[in-house]
Amino acid sequence: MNWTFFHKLGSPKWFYDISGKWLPWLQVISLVLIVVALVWGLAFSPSDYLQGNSYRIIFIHVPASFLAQSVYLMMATAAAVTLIWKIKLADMALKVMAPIGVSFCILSLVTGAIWGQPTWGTWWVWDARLTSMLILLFLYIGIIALRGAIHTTEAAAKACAILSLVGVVNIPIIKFSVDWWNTLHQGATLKLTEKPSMAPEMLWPLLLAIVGFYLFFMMVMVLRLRIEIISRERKTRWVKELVS
Amino acid sequence: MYFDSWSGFLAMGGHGFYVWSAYAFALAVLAYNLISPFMAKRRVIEKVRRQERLMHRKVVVDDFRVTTGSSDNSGNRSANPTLQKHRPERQEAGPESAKRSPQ
Repeated sequence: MNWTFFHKLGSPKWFYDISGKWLPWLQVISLVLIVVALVWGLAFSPSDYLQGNSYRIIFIHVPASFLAQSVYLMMATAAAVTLIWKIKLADMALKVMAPIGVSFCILSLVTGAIWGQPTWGTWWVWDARLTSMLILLFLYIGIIALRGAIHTTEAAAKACAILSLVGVVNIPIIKFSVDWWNTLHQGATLKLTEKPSMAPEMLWPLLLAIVGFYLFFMMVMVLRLRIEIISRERKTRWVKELVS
Repeated sequence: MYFDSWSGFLAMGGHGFYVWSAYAFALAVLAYNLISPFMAKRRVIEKVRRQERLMHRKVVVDDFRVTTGSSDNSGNRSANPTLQKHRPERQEAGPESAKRSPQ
């Protein structure tokens, strides 16, 4: 098998050049999708027969929750690549994904609490889904704090990679918490194996919002990664030429 | 449009506070993610430029004092076309920037 693409992918300069071409597309498509999905969900979807209009929070709560977990999985993948192949770009990705993951994890928890008040009559309960999601937030914060505490770049990369991998155990717990334990939180709305139980007028804006949020994540991740590349490669000739 | 009127849209059937505060928070999170990279970019580029300037000055000072041992700069010195331009200001720039080493 030809592995040149893999080494090219690990080259910060190559990534910087190619991602500059992706960025405008990502920016336009993600923002258009998010605006269309949220306007559709807020103003055009019918209300829920049980929850009334408060269910419209789903169009941000579900994409944010999906992202909070997916970003963690991507960080764990980057951590594995960092440990196995010692690719610098993977550690940079691990570093820049953490604050984005934190922001979407907080968004998921906050919108969940706001939704919980009219639906369950409480902002917060210590049940399995909510607690495991809170642990995910602490894991994110722990990884960021760990990097800040270690000054050598290589040592910080290794420590953060190990912590990210250990924390993966929490992801299946979040996923199956609604099946394993009795919980106030409703079961999965979208399943790959079954036909969705939602009406298509609600399902379409939700799917659009999910795709839009994922593309938005990719876009801001690429933005941050390019800055991290400039910062870490500042001694190289091409970065010096770039900034001067 | 699902709602009959603008006020009905804002009221959200009595759930207006919950729906709109959730969406406002979402907007804030998206805005934070969008804006913070651009602020970080300015900071990082400024840092790299400052480091570059310090490197250039250090080369001039080293040259002036004919110091040896700064092996990391020796490659730069011969390849640096702007060396001549820096020479006149070495008097005032010299002692101060010699103490400050680039990060």
